[in-house]
Amino acid sequence: MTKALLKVEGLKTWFDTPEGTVRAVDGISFELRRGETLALLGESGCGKSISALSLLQLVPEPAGRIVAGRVMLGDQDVLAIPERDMRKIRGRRIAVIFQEPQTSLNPVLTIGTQIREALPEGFSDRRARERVVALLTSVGIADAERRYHEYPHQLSGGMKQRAMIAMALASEPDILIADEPTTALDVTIQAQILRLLKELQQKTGMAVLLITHDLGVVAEMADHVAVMYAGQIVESAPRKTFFAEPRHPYARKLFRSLPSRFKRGQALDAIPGSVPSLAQAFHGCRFAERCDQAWDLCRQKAPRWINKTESGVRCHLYDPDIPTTEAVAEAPSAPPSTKDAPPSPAGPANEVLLRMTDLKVHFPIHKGVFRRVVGHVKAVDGVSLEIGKGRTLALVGESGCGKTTVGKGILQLIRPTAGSVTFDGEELTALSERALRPMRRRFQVIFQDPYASLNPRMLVGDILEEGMRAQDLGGHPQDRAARTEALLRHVGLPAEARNRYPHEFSGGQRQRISIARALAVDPQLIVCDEPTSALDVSVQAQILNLLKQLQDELGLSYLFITHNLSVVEYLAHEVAVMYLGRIVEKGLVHEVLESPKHPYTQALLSAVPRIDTDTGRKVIRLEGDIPSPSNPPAGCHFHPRCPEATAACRESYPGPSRFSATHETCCHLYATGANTGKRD
Amino acid sequence: MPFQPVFLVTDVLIYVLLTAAIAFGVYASRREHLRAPWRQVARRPLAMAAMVILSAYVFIGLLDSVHFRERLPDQDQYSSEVLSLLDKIATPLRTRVEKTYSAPFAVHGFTKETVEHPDGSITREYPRLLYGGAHLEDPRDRTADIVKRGAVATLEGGIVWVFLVGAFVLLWRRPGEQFMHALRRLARGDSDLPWRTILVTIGALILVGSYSVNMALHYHILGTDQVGQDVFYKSLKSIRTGLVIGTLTTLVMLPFALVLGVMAGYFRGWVDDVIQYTYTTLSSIPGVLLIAAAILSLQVYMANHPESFETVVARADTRLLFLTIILGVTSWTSLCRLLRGETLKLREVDYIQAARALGVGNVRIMMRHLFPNVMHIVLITVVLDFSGLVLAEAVLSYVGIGVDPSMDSWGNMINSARLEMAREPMVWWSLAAAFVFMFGLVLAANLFSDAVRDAFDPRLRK
Repeated sequence: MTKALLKVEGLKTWFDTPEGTVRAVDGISFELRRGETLALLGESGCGKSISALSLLQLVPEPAGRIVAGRVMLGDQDVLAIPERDMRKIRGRRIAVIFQEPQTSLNPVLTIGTQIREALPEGFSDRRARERVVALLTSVGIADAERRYHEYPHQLSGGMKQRAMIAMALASEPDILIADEPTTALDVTIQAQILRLLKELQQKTGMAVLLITHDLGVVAEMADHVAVMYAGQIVESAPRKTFFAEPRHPYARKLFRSLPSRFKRGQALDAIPGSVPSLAQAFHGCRFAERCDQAWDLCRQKAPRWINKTESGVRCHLYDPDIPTTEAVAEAPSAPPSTKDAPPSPAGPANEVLLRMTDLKVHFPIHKGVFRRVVGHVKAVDGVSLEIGKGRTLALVGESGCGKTTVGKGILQLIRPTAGSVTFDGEELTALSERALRPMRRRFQVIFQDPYASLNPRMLVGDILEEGMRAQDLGGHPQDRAARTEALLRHVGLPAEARNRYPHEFSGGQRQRISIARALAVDPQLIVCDEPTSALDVSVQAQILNLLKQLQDELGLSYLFITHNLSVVEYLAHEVAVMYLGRIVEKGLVHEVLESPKHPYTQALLSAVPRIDTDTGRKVIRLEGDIPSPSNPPAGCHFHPRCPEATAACRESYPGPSRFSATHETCCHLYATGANTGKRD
Repeated sequence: MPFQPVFLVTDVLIYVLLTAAIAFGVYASRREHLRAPWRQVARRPLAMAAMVILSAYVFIGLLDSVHFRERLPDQDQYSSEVLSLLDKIATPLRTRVEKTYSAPFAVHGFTKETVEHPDGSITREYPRLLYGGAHLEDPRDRTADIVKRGAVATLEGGIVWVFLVGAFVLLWRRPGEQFMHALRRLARGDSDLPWRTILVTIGALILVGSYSVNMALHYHILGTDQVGQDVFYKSLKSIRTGLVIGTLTTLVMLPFALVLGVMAGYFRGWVDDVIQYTYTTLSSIPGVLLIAAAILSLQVYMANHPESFETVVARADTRLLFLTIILGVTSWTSLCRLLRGETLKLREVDYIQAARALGVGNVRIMMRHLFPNVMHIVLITVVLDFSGLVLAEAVLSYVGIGVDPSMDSWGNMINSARLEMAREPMVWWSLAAAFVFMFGLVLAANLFSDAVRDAFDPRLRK
């Protein structure tokens, strides 16, 4: 075993807030070796980013302070180095890339200038320039000479993240800290960046500390995994061991709460509750409240770190000094109850609730003094879909493909430019705003961001009653109040929540309130716009369970807009894949996900990092970024990125080809025979 | 009835404003999201000191906003003179009018006069003042007298303050806590709110008040002006003018700014275009020109229709009201622009979209969702604008297009004092008094508004 490059021992970082001391990082230890990737895995608010900042003494002062611990970089304790000398460490020996490439680059300086700033001193003008261009090329930016003079806004998100990596690599650091480097990016771009990081690591032999919440990314990238929970590392193990046999109950629960196609029809084994507040002194195990294997000792005594050669775990279950008789015998992974959620048939829909035909939403681009229309952003460009009663249609696509706009077009929050939306036989696009108002109770919406979707100035009760009032439902004020309480209980919140403000609730609870608000008016269809992507995995499972349960009980239909394919596999009946405003493939969930036809669908599916990474999955790497919808490529929109593009793809947009009654795609690959025969 | 109440228009507006402020206070105290930022303001010692000083100004301003006419003695008629409570309280100051200028604490006039002595001889000398230091047999005792009265004032003020602190500690201490222990805790500053600072500021104010009362009855502590009126009294009277300009102007402009700004941002389209062009046009006209035009035409109207105004005070009051309106009209644009921008951002926020999806009407969305969520901007602007408006009044009055010349205001005081600055010896006290009073108010307002901004601006919040 090689000597550790970076060794962290008992690091504690605390924050002093008016509410008390927040123990954000409470005694973590780990080692990082040359050429190795250590993944720090954890949910939001568990202290992983603060740990990384602490390593560089970048904890925001004066609120935060490093209370204890050592960070040994070679023979030097980084925490003992005065601020003046830290500059020689930061960016030189330890470099960082952050989550948001948008905010990490200065918008008024060119890319070249910013990367040059990161170069070590002593480069001549010309040499520095050459070096920056070389760096840009090495992170896979084509035409680096030109990009050198461009500003951040001229680069796409993935490109900016590449530039950030180039900046981090400028001084050839020993250690690269990557703080959620791909969370803000789309899956196909994420695959590019992850591959790039891996290649660079092999070339330079640097150590990578990867901070992430995504088990898939960990499986793809890490050599060693450390799981953080509530400011502590609860388990540490080599990747293979960890994925083969996670030991800490929290880690095991995490795996079980992940949605996937194998869990279809079952309730997910969600972890109850949410991450505890760190502004308290813990007496027992921090996970005890949410653990189904906890017993009395867990609440009284904090478990110690139990070390085995390469791995360790912080749990009483594995403590040899604690008699196992006392412990609950290795709880069999309770089979998730299947009875309350019978597997819904994945057959074709029987009764259509909502039908979109050739829906188009174009936004005009104005220019000049007189604001003449010089073009259109074709956010949605001819989408035809159907949603059956009690069914879930998943609309999948990367950011900017227009999937949210489809949702808003259905809800008539944005009036479609052309096409029709019929809801239960009624044409919505023809209705005036006034005539639409009573209709609105039948289709509702749940948004992505639980923090923006509730008015912070209104009581939860008022938020829920607003829809009833607007729709004149629920009768007397007392009846409404009673109904509100029933709704809250229905979504798993106490009835007293009525008299509290949204800020008193966690993200998952707020999402429950959003769901209750939508349910308040008895809708038939709910447009779920990425309802779980802002939530942690453990909370996501709770919300998915709730949505599924509500569908079974109330016969709701969902339009589920998402980029998360494992959620699709778990929840949807039908899938439609969207690219640049058009549907490229649609069909029943097993048809699309098991035998994808369109090259884009294939690439999208292969780009998703999987936990079962050893199965020899072939990843189709897509190059480049999604083009702008204001100026889509001629012919098939996907052809510039398509590995199988032909001359025909550049000339005309392909017509639909059918594979079954429900499965169809738009691709020239299948058009040859189908074009004449199957178009009716 | 011994008096007849008179409600000037600005009085009524002040009452409305006061009621609204109290109602808002009650409303806010029940709502955590409104209470939290105010609590943050209340925790800042400097802000609370400023608050105490502002309260003193407001108190005087309110005293000066209750007007009435007294019944003439032995007649069934009311006096044509409209008095305020402040006038009544400060009757000695109001009525002791000298001939002309006199310096602060002077016993002699500022200019030499020809005096005819009982023996028939005629000399030119500085005459004794009619009221200032009139109780002194020998003017040379003045210093001793001032020192003596100062000591008495200090003693009185000190006693009042000590009683106040004692009463406060009795009420404030925790149940069962010993008095001395609570007092020590207070002295250490060991309390949730900065009571120590508040009490010290109140103590300082009591001391100032006690000195004023003790001295002002016997001297003109800030001198007299050209027509012999007490400058201290004029300064006190000016407080109301400053407050009215600073607050009512906001009251006038708020409906414009709030409704138009939110409408422009929410409806977009042609509504936005019309509102934007309106305020862009309006803000391109130099404000001073607009104000001058409005005030001058009002003057002409007043000169032609003297019968519309019952009293001189009513006339001056109308002009003051007009000034606030025209100042409001010229100053709503910046707030409107801010609100439009914030609304543009808010209308795309999920909870507004959700409300639209629920079929909630536009008016209701604006009332329930938009107004409460832009209120912090309104509040910050209002408190920041206040001091600017007080200063604007001074400038406008100085230029001659401000309040009525018969109305006491710091601007008028400065205006009338400017020529005397060239005299030798200089007549400095009018200017200095106006400066000190205005400075106190504006500084306190600025300190307070800084704290309010820090507490309410979401970008500054952690």
